[in-house]
Amino acid sequence: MEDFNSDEQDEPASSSHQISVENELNSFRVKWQQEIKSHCHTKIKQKQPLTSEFFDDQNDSTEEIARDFFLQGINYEKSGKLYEAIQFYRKAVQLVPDIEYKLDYRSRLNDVQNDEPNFDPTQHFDESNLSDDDNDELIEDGQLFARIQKKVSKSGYLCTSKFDQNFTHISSLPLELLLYILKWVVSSDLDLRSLEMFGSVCRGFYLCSRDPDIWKLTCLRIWGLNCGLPKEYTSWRNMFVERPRLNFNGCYISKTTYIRHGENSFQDQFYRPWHLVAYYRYLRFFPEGIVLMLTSSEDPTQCVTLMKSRYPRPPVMVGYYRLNGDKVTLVVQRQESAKTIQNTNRKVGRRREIDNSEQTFHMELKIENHKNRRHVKLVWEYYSVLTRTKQGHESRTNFDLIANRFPSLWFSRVKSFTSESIHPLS
Amino acid sequence: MPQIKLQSSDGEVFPIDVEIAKMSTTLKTMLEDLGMEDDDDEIVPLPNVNAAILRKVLEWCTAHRHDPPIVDDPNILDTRTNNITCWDAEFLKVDQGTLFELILAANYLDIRGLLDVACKSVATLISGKTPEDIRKTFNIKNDFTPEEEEEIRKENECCAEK
Repeated sequence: MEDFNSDEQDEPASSSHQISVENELNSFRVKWQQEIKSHCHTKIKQKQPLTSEFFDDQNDSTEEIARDFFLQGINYEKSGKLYEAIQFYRKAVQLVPDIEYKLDYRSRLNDVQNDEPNFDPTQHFDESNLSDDDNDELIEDGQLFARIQKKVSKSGYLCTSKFDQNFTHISSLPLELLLYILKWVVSSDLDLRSLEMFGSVCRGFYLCSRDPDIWKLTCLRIWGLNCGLPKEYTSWRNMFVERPRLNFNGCYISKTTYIRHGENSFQDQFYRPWHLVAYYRYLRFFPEGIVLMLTSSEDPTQCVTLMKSRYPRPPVMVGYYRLNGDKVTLVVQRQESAKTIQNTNRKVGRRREIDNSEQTFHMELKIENHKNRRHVKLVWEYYSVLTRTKQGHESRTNFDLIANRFPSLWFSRVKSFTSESIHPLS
Repeated sequence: MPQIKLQSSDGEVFPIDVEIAKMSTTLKTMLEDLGMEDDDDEIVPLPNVNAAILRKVLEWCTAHRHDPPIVDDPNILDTRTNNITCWDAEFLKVDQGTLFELILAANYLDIRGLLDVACKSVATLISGKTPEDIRKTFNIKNDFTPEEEEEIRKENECCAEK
């Protein structure tokens, strides 16, 4: 019953009507508990001679119904409809007088099972004495979080200074502010890597880095309204780790090489020159659905800096992407700009022919893992280019995705991408 | 212009414009709830903020009194100009202790803009750093057992790729 009492206290008793109902509820509880006690005694006496299977079956099913009633009662009580709640409690108790204890036992079992995803470090930090006993029951060998949580709540502080210092130490910041700073660390660009690094500093910071709110906001930012609940992944963090997504703190890069035969030399008919042509394709994704694309013969070290901002200059193209399961669909439009002519890649020649036209690239890529590196490989599934001339003539080219012309894109982290946060995670 | 007086924890009194005081949501609510605007002699004690920090906070508020309210939408391009950020950068060139105290004061007085820039500048000390870097920067004792460290390394493997 304590659980429900505390729930009730959280609710503001706004109307006098509610208070009177609450009083009624309280007096009912007292009566009911007395009733239970007397019932329990009589019931034990009754039950001893009757141990047939039939009795047990019947007992189980009525208990089931009573439990349902009781649960409905709890729901009503939580939503503030106390009168309805009493009705259901009454019905439940009429069927099985000690339903509360039976139910309490079951729901507690559930709590233990669900404890991992619902953990809340903030709950336990300040109440170190209160929570210690509770934790003991839950901690198993595998549960690193719970073990560390216990140690931190025993010590009572999140971190300690290694050397004495005469100015304010980071440990004087309360948890809420530390978590707010972490939201700036993660930022709207979702730099979870830095968060994990922060979590490896000391025990208290580890607990902060597992704050479910940060991970939840992260998941919502990646998957948006289709995010769902972390049921199948057991926690928001696991959802982030396991569910197919894109990495944002770097570029996906592929290198395509092919051989182009050169012109025969005029003097020497036997000398057949050929050129090894190599070019790179770069993709960079932003959490809000923007993608940057660049095809260039320049080295990655030269090109990644061009893709730092989400408002890049040509030749980098801007487009949009959408995540659907493990597939990512991209639509990128070539911006009409005189500067694109400066681009030195092999497409220049072709582009001049179709000058004054608009090109839209449609791509579909599949996200794959490689060993224990997750979401690092993008495999081509579909690629077409729609060309629309100024006269309104449209033509679509579908590309044959031969492996050596369209190699998979591999992720590499770019440090400078996460060096400054513009907005906090929200 | 109406003024009010703020008193720091160490007793120094700062007379300031109400307009500037209202950048603190805490003070704004207090002034509105108590209707203190006309009452010039009232001194508001701020037991959590010392004079040095309060001076700094008021300096920031004075410089930012014409700021538009903060919009909570990361997709809207920040319209505030870069030189304010430059001003902030200059303003935040302080030692770590002052920075933390500014955060605490901004939180207590509920000055969102100042809290944000100060938290952001702490965040830049953390972003992209290794755990050892962070320990050094903030003078933090590593209290993990080697086993715990190993377990965390395993847990973080997925996100912490090179």
